[in-house]
Amino acid sequence: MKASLPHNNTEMTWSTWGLPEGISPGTTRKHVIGETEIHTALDHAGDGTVLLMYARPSSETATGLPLPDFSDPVWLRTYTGKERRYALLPAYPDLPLCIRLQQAFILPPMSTIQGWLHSYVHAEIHINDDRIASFPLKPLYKTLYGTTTSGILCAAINGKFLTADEPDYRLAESDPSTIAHPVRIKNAGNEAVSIQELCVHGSQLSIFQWQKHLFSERILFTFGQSRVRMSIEGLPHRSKDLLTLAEPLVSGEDKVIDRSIEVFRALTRMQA
Amino acid sequence: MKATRKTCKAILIIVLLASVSAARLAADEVLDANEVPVAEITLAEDGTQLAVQPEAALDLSAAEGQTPDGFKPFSIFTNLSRMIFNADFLTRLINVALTILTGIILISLTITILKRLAHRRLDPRSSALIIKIIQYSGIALIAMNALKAAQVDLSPLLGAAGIVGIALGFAAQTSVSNFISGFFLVSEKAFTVGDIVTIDTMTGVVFSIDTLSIKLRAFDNRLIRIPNETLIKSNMINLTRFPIRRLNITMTVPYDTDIEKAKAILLDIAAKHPTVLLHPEPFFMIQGFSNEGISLFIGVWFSHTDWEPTNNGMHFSIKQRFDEAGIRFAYPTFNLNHTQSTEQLLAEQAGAQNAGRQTDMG
Repeated sequence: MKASLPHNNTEMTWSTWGLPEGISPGTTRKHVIGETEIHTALDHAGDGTVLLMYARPSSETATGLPLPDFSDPVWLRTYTGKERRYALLPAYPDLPLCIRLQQAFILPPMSTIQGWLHSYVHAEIHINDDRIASFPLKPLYKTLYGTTTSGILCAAINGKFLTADEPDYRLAESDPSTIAHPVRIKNAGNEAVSIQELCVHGSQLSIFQWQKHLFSERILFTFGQSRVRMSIEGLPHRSKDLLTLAEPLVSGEDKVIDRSIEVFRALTRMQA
Repeated sequence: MKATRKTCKAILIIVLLASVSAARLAADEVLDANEVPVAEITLAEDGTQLAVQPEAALDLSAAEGQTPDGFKPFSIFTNLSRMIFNADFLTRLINVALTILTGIILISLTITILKRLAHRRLDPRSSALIIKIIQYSGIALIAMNALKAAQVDLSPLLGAAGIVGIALGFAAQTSVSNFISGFFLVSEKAFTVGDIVTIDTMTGVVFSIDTLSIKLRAFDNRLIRIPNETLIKSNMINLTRFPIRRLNITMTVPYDTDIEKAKAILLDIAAKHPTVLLHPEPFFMIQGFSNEGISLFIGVWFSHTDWEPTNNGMHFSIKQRFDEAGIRFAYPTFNLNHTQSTEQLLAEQAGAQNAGRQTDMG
C-alpha cells in the first residue's frame, strides 16, 4: 500500500497512544519530536493488526519527499496481538554519552562547581512494556573516551556547562529531545584539572518529566588523580511534580561490577 | 561426583562379593571339619582316574540336584575361593579398594576446588586443559598406588612403560609438539574465541581453540584448521584485540592537484562520516612523490564492529567528493617529448630507406 501524507499531526508527547485506527487507509500518524518525525500506521494480518513504524528527519517532509511505500522494508513492523495501545517513551542512547564542552574550564584542587548539562534522548515505542523500536532523534557521532587500547566507546555531542540554578528551558522548548542533567563537578585531586568533556552513563539514570521538560537525577562527577567517577546524588529540584518516564536499566553497583568484569576480561582475555 | 559415586558402588560390590566368597569359604571349612566326603578318588593300575562314589554322597547329590557323576557345581568355585580368597588376599583387596576410594575422593575434591578457582581466573580452555591434566595424572597415581597396595611388582611394568613411552614419543612427536605449543599460545593470551585474526594469508573469526589446533571460520564460511605448532611459528594479527582500529587509505593524485583542497575535503569527509570516531582525530599525511603523482594518506579511527560501513563509506565519499571538486586520481603516465630535430631525424631516416629501396629495384 502506498503511504500518503500524514492524516493528523500531533505534538510531541511522551505518553501512551491508541493504535492509529480510524485513519483513512494508507495514511499515517505523525509524532514530531524536534527535528525528527515518527510515523505510525496500521496494517492487518488475518484477525490481528500490525503496527508499522518509520522515522525520518522533518526536513524530508518539508521538501515534499513522499513517505516510502508500506511494502518498503524501512518500515518496522510488529504484530500487536490484542493490545490496542502503544507507548512513545524517551530513552538514553545505548552508548554512554560524551558531552564535549564548547568552553573547557579549569577546576582548582578541592573545589566544586554546580550547574547543568544538556544531552539528547532517543524515542522508543513500547507495547506491553516491551521495547519494540528505538529511533535516534539526533545524529550521534562516536568517540573514544580513554586510551586506544582500553578506552570506552561513547556517543559524542557538543554541549555547554551552564552554571545556573535553572536549566536552559528555551533549549528544551525548541528541541523536545533535550534532557537536562543537574550536575556537580568536584575536583578531589591535588592538582587543577581541565574539564573538557564529561561522560554520562544513561543506563544508570532515570528520565523524569516536568511539564514539557525532561530531567535526570542529580549527577556528581568526581575528578581524582587518575580517573573520573560518575555517581548519582539524588533527585533534581521540583521532585514533587516529576513524572517518571524511564527508570535506570542498571544500578550503579551493577555497573561497577560490570565494568570491573569488563576490565578483568580485557586484561586476561577471558571469554564472556 | 557422579564418577565417585559409581566407583564407590563398584568398590562396595567388590567388597560384598569378597565377603560372600569369604562366607562361602568359611562354610566349606565347616563342611571339611565334619568330614563328609564329597568324592573318593582312586588311581587305577594304568594310571587313569576312577571315581568311586559312596552311597550317601550319591543320595546327597541326587537330593541337591547334582549330576550323577557326583561333582558338585560349586566345587571349582570353592577350590578357587580357597586359593584366592584367603585372609591375605582380603587384606590386599581392602587396601586396594581403600587406596582407590581415597584417591578418587582426593582428586574429586582437588578438581572441584580448581574448577571454582579457574572459573573466576582463567578462560574455559585453559581451565579445561589444567583440569584434564590433573585428572589424568591423578588416575595414573591411583593406578600405581593401587598396584602397590596389591603388592604387584611394578619394576617390569615401569620398564615396559618406559619402552612404550619412547615408542609413543617418537610416534606422537607432532601431536606432542602441537600440544605444548597450545600451552604457550594459551599463556600468551594473544587471541580468544570470537576474535578476528589474520594468520599468514588467512583471515577469519576464531571458532575454537583446541588441544592440537585452532579453528578459524573464514568470512566465506570455510573452516580453517591451523595446527598450534604452525601458529606459534607464524605472524598473527589480531584485528579485534582493541576496541578501535584505524582505516588507512592511500591515494595518488596528479602533480597539478591543489593539495590543501584535497586535505580539506578528506578531513571533512571523515568529520561527517557517522562511524568515524571524533577522537582519536583523523590523521592526514603526504606520503611522498611517485612516478604517477603525489601520494596522500588519511587514517580514520572506527569501532572494530563498524569496519564495513567505515571502509565502504569512506571510499565511496572520497570518490564522490573528489569528482565533484574536479580532483582526479593519478594513473601510470608516460610523457613523450616531441621536438623538431626528432622530426627531421625521422624524415631523413625515411628518405634514406626509400632511396635504398629504389637502388635495389634499379
